[in-house]
Amino acid sequence: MYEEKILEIKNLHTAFRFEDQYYDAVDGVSLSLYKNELLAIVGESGCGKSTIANSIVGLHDKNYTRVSGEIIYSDENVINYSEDQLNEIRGKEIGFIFQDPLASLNPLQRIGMQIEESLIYHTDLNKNQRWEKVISLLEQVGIDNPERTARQFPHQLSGGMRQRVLIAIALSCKPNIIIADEPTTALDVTIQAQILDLLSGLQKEINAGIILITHDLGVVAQMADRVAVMYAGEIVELATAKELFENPLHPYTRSLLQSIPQSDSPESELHVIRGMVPSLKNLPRTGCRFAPRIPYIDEAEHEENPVLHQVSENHFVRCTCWKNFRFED
Amino acid sequence: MWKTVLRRFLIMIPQLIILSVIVFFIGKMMPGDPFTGLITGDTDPAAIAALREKAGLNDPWPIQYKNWISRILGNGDFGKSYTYKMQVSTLIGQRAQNTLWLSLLTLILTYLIAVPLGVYAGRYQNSKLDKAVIVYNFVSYAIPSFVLALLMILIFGYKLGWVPTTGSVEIGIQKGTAAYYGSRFHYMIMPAVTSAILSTTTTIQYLRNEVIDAKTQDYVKTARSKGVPTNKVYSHHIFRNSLLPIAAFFGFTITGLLSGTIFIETIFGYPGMGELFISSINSRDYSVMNALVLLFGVLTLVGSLLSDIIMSIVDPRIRIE
Amino acid sequence: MSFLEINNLKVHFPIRGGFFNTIQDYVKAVDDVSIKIEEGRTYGLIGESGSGKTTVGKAIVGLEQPTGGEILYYGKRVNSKKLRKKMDYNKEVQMIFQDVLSSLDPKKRIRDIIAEPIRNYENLSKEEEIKKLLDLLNIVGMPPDALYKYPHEFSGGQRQRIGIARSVALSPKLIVADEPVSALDLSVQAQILNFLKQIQEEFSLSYLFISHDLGVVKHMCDYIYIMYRGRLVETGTTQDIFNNPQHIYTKKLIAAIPEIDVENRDTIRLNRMKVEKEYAKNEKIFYDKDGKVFDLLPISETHFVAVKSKEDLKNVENSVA
Repeated sequence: MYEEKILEIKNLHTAFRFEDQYYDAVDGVSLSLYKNELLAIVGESGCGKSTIANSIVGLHDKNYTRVSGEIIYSDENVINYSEDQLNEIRGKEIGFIFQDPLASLNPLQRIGMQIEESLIYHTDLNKNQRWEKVISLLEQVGIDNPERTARQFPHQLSGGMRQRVLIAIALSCKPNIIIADEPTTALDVTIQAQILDLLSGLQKEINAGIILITHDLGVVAQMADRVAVMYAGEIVELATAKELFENPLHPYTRSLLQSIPQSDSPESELHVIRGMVPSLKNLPRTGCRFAPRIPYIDEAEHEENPVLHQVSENHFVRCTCWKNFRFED
Repeated sequence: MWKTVLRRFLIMIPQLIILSVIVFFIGKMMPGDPFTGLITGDTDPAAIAALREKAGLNDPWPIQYKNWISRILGNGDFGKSYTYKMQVSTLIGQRAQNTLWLSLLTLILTYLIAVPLGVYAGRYQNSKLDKAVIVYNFVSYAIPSFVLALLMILIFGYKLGWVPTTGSVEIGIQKGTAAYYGSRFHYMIMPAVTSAILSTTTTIQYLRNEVIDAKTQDYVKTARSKGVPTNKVYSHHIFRNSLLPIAAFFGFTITGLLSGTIFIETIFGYPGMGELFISSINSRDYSVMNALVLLFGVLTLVGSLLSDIIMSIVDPRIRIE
Repeated sequence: MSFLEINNLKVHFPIRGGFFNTIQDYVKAVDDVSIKIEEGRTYGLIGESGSGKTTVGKAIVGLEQPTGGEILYYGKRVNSKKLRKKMDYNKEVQMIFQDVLSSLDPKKRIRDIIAEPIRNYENLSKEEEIKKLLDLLNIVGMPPDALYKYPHEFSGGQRQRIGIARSVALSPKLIVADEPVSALDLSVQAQILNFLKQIQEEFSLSYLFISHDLGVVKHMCDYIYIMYRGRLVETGTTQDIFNNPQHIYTKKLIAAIPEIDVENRDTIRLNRMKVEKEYAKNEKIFYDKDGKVFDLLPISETHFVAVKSKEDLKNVENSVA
């Protein structure tokens, strides 16, 4: 059912250093991205979802980070690539869109220059051609007066416009993959809808695969083809969007869906997950990581070393505890 | 942009007037007047009174102020120095030249040392170089300027004898010759290096912190995600943005070139503005003191004007459209 | 009966500009906003960033000085500090903020943070105070030893609960909650929302929920005010707003909610496009030629819409159907 696989992550571990000790923020994640697909990675803050994005093209500060595993892009493992090798991929093959559109643009540079920059390093276009390309990119992301916008500075644009500019930067070299890290979290809901529509429209135009990282299950439901749900550095459930929302299996996924305040009966109580997300340092590295949050489920229901089980063609769940999971009364 | 500058300039006019009035009254409050020095045992008080009357010292103060300010604006006439027996304006002109050359050399040395050190220390944070820079900064910050100056004189002036310890030029050299300029440069080296060492501290500290801060900014991450080579990320995104706080002070730095440094000039016996200020205070040379206070005040105001203009050039967020 | 009435509240900020930096115009951050609060009910104030919703909240608790209009507390004006003090208004109307960490003094222990309002308004002995604080911690579900910790030792959700404990310490009648959960993760958010509902029953509290999250507002509120460009565009019961939205802005807002509905996502997207078109087409009916929102007109006992005339509203429905 899927087209060609364009990115494969195998057993990715990304660890951060605290006081000379490394702690895995991403702990053995394997994922694939297919052409034309929108894959959503969803989870709460600190679950490691953004860390995956940064690990793919080595955007972390190498002095404090240790990455291992395999990241296969066009038949090559890029995980140990040097900065120079990675710079051939970044921006050209893989485009990025970040959360805070104001902070993500250089305040002292004109918009046009910031879009042009990736063209300088990845194309042979001359100055005039690059300028034309910048204008056409701004048009493509739905900016009305591209010539004017190209000469403006970031602070002169609205939040939605800035995010369009970031999208134009990500698109500039027609990448095969776009990684969007919480692209609409800082925006108003009406602007969010416009940006998401723009993103899915553009995806069809350039046939890219998109990795959308978000905490918003509504956005996932509206956008994603496939969804990976993350908890404490691991994928706990991986399924097509339709399957995940219709038939969520993992206790964490089910609990999250129950705590969304969207129900039509305002009298109902929202579901609350017991306890707290453990910090990176105190994370138990063995057993089911969600077990402490559902202490009323018998220990025997959990696997000793939980792995992702395939339950149907497009549905994977970690651990066995989902089989006998029920909500607490 | 020009509107902003013009408005900023107009705001300066009342500031200048207030400054000049204050300086005028400080002058008035000083004991004695230009004729006090003429009084001897057999001076006729009536003659002095007549001289005072003639000089306009009995006029009401607004008229006196008007005369004073129009002499300054008209011919740059600040009166005569008692100690040097020459026009104050000529005297300040000579000293300002000395100070300007010394300060310029100091400034160039400061930036030559501070900018690369600050940027590299920030870029390679926690490296050996960075740690060395931190130690250097602590030492140059902690050491009192006169201690450093005396050490320099002791080591390079007396022990090694590389440079002269006092003055601004060798006596007896023909003005305008190559040897004359060479000698002036020779005399300037030690005070310039000393004062550069002292002034690098803040610049290095600012730059290092700004670079470390900028490295973690989202726009730097965006630049890296575009595939911009690391060196270009530093030169195009981090470096320029880190220079902002230094640019904010640059106007003051420029006008500061003329006001000189009191400590350095005094210790090295360098005949500049700072040294002139101190000696005019010590010898109660009021007309010189007055002129200098006015000049320093004007320089500060112009410095803040320049800083504002520079900031509006380098930071688009401050520009008023 | 409403105990708090905000009538025609205006908060205008001057825009300075031009050559002499004079007041050129005003930003009408809040323009003619009227809100009624009844006991034990929850109100929502929705709007995008810059709509003026937070300014309304601040004006209600007295953190922003209104330019015009009146705030009536049990029929008495509380527009000035003095009047608020006389009525004990600041004790009865509390605010909780989005960014709890910055609203809690990092150098104070939780004990002193929660006790601050109590010490301001009530004269309790040490024992009584401790007892009250422990009661409050119990209500917000925190252990007693939290009293002696500092804000940074808690997670975001716990800090929000501490903020709530402080705001309910004086048993207020109204809590103005400005985006109280938008910085929190879903599971923590659920906890706080449940908890706010629970203490509402215990204290017969009223809430004014200021939020951009329609899901949260729908879940929590009985009555909703929708703001756009400083003015109210539509007000009504939660059913009125969500089942029968009339203003194009409200429709656009609701259409933009990302629903948890994978099956119908194409229909939802098409509907959103349709609403966008309708918005562009009918702007004239809902905004005057300067883009200003019209005054509210009643379309039922509880439901008000800002529109030029009620006939236009029918035309809109026909044009879409």
